[in-house]
Amino acid sequence: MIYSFLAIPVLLLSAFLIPLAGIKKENFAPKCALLAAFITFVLSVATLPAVVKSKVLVMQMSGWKAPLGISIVADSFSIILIILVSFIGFLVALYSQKYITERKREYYSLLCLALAGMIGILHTGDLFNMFVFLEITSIASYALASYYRNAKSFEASIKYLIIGALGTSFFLLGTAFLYGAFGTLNLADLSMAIANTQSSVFPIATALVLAGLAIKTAIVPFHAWKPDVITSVPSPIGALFGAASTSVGLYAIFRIILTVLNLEGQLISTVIILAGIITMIVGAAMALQQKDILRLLAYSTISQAGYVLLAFGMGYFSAKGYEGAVFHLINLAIIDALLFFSAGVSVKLSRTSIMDDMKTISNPLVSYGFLVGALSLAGIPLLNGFSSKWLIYIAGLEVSPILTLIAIIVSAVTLAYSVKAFYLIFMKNEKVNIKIDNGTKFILAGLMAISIFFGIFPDTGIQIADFMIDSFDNSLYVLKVLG
Amino acid sequence: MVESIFMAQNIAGMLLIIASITIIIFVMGLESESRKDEKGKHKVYACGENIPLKKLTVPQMNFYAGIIKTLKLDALREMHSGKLTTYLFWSFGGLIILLTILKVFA
Repeated sequence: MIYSFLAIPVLLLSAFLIPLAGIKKENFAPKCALLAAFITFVLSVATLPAVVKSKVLVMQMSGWKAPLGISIVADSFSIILIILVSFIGFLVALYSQKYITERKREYYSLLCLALAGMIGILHTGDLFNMFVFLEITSIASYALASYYRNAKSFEASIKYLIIGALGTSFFLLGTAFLYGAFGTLNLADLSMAIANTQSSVFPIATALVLAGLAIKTAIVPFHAWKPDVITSVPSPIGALFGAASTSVGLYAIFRIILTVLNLEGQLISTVIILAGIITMIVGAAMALQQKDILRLLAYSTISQAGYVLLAFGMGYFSAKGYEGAVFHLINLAIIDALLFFSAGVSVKLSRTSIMDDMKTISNPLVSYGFLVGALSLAGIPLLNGFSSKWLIYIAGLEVSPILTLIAIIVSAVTLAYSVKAFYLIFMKNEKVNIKIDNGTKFILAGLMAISIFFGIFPDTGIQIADFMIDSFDNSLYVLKVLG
Repeated sequence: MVESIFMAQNIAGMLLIIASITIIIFVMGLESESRKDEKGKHKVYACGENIPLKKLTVPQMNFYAGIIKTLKLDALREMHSGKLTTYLFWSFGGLIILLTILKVFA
């Protein structure tokens, strides 16, 4: 039994119950969502020992064997991300308790739905269900993007809806081509079929599937919707989109490249390296020009996703590349959550996200939280961002020193915009003393502690990354799924 | 070797260290919350005289905007015009680039 899969019905049930049961009791919604997110996290952690023991856990729905039935899979790569996403989901639900004061039923129901979709993407063993869960997440996200119900949020939501629908169409069209050419959608079965059959539509299908996922993950040049959306959503949802959603999107891309398409070759690695470099540079250059903190953080997330792509592409040439990619993927989620949560306190108090107009909060946990996140993002030693970036720099030296040089320059730009943001939000303007709730304080202190821990003990993070990389070889995955 | 990180004592140790750092940061945050700024603490002295903070402020926005202009990166702004048609153009453009690479070189 894959316990973490039970999180999906729990979250879907909560998403259904919250609007109904919350009519009479307004406070039912936040508590129910918090409980559902906590159960999700506990179930995810409970699945880990079984994955450590058997490497790949497979569950065939209703006893129908693959490729006919629906396969639910948890391997070392997906389980760590499931734990990470459920942890971020729990923090978002906890942080939202005081942050969200109106339309709670709508907000928490959509939050549970989005989380269920993300966990589903990480669990699914076939392309069609990946599409279904992708849509569940996307539809909840479109609605969350219009949460504030003002002109700005409606505009962002409609743009997101249209671009997202385009991404979905690409993905579905690619999936249809693959089904037409190979007669199966099960990831493991598809992998076998692709290895044994030549098909002229294969490159087209691959391009469509990857472009669809690149839109959802916001990789340059498919990224333009993201800053608009993040600026118009509540900060906790910004953390969910920035930290969890990006990780899930990158997972889907890596899973398809490694498990299904068997494209772990020089060409695709070079394409990924190029995409990574462009994403890093464009994200950082745009972040440098921003006056809005949420927009800056959105571009920063895009830029850091570029680092993950760069490292993943280098993984074909150097083992350190995969380690760096996976470790930075984990760190990116932690750092983004810390930055969005600490900036969110300031945004809520100031009622604006324009850095020049924001009030300076003299609460040390908020300002140090942002500072730790900002420095970690820039790759300053003794913080987790440094540990993963160091691996990326080393991998770059092994592949081509110019890649390391570019990565270091972008890190310097990251430091520049992070310090600018810190100065403008926490040092420049009128100081305001506020009391923040203990839940938020614990979230910020906890995320800072994790950031410092992985900075001081990078070996632990590298060991977790190595455990995840174990499943990059798809032979065991295919064997277990197809029995 | 790889699984050693997931042994019970290692996980417990990791969680204990993270929890300890969390509590230390949390308590430090509580203590310094009640501390008040002293007047005159932030005065800046240079060349034997007080300099008002306003005079020392670096014009960050213009500074970075200048760098962006010098590096000719301001063209990127056109890509982020906020117009849906531009976003769609880049999305289709990306797909065509990807298609070309995979079709021609694969």
